[in-house]
Amino acid sequence: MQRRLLSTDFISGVVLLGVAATFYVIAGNYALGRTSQMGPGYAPRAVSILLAAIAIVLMASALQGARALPSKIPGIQTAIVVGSCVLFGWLLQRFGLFAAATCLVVGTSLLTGRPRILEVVLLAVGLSLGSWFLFSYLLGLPLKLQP
Amino acid sequence: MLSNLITGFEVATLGTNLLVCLGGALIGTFIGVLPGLGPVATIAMLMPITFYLDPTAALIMLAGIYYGAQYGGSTTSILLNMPGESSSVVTCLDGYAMARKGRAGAAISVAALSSFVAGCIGTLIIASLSPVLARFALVFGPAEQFSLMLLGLVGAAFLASGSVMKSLAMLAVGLLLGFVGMDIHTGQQRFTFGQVEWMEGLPFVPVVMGLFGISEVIATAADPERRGAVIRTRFRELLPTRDELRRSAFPALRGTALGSIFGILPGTGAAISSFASYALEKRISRTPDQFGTGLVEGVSGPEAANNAAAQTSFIPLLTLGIPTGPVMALMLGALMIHGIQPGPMVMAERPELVWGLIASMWIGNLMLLVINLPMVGLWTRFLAVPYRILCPGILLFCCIGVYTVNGSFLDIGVMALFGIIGVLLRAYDFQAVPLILAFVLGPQLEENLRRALQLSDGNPATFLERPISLSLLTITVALAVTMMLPRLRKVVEQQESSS
Repeated sequence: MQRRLLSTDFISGVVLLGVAATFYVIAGNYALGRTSQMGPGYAPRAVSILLAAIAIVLMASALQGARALPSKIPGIQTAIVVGSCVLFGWLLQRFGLFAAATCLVVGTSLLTGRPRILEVVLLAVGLSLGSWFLFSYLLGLPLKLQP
Repeated sequence: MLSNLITGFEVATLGTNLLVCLGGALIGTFIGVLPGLGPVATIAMLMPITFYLDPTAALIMLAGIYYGAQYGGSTTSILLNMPGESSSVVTCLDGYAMARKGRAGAAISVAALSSFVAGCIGTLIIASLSPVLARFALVFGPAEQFSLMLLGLVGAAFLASGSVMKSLAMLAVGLLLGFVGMDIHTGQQRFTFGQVEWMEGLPFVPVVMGLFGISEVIATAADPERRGAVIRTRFRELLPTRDELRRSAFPALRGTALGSIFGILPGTGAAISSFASYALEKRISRTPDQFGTGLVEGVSGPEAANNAAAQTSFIPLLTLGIPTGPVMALMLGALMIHGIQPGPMVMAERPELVWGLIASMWIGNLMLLVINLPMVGLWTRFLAVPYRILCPGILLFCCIGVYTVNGSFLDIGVMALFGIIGVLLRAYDFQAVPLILAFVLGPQLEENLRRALQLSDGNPATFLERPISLSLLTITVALAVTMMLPRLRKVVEQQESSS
């Protein structure tokens, strides 16, 4: 039973049901309207109900037989990549492209085991200059370059 | 048709358009050969740089990126046994076997030649079929539009691989995400959480970049097997023997025919057609047992099929505004960002765009053949670049690309969030494709539903009373039933055997 409750289908059913409920509740603030004159809340509520029904079918079918367990989530890699991206965006606005690009390179160098210092330095310099050349110089995009 | 094609070639051979076509094909190949990045991730990554071009040039460049990435994908399939996407999975079977026998160069050339032949025929099919379909679609009212989009979405969900229920769930989630933004009838803001930036909807580029780009990078970083060892190739080895050419001719033509049909249908046309072509060649071959050991027929057929399908999948997009797969959903999204709503009207109002694109497809295929093929040695050298060096560059490109579209930090956050969602979808065995199709089509689906029901005064029978709408809905239901039946039977059998 526990295996069934932990199966991909059951867990995703629970999550999708949550998504459906959230959208349904928020859509409750919007006018429903009539079928001939739908309000902004009509279609979102209808689709939320549809999603909830699908989620329930998924959960029910997961309880019927042994289902596949989810594959391992690459948590560390996800954290590094997502963290580097967000940090990049934050730094870009405050300290400019060069600082942000350097941090991104250093951050992602943690992805594949032991980073090699010289390689990371060269990569940071190369990619900073390269992205400045492509986006700022060639395409003329408004990018803050320095603090 | 001839005068239209001439107009198209005049547009496509303009200096800038020729340049972006070449640029797109080269960049597409470059990104496409990188480990783990298929056409969808490539287009998602490169989309922002096309926003600074005029719509025609942007579309031509995106199309160039598409075939470039596909070409790059078949190169990695042959050299690394690593398909960039589902449509080149089959190419691995005999392509990689040929490479191990020392015929890697020949396999790559045969793949490129077959793709070129398929591309030429595909272009002719688009040119002759599109105007007919567009004229037919001009009479479509909101009810027909709604039924057509429903068919496109449901068809894509049912024909996609994996669980039907999960695909349908992804459709619903995509539709919900599509509701974000201001309701055009009442001005009501929906699901925007007070973000002014989301008034026009959840930003498209960060969503696709997160779902397809970032999650792809994470998956590759987490799985060292996705970066394999390279088989070296030299230019001298590129020439196929006369016998290899002779044997690949008919498989390529049959593959083209299959691909052209599958490409127009909703669902993963390119992938299905390459599988179908491989199966067909194996069936009619006199030596079916030799497939998988490096038969050139097993490369030319599927490669022609997936390229033909890639071409003809533009037909429903350009004439009806219906994307049949993830790449076309990205194209549709890019067009809408340029303020163009693809559909029958575009054909009439913007002939230079449509015909310029069609002509540029042919030119792009030619460029891939004469410029890219001799560079295969260079491309494979990129394959040897370690992932720890590639990865920061790819991420930096994604981040700057997303940021510069609106100069918004929030967009990078959205990209990061959808990157996480992409990782979760992968772990829980969901396809992101139905989600993105529904996300792109959602707003129009709702708009057409509202207009149709307004016209019929709230009577839902309008969808069944109008003959075109009725037949589209009938096809949708028939498709759903036929796809459900074998699964139902399988479920019943499983239950019986387990009890």
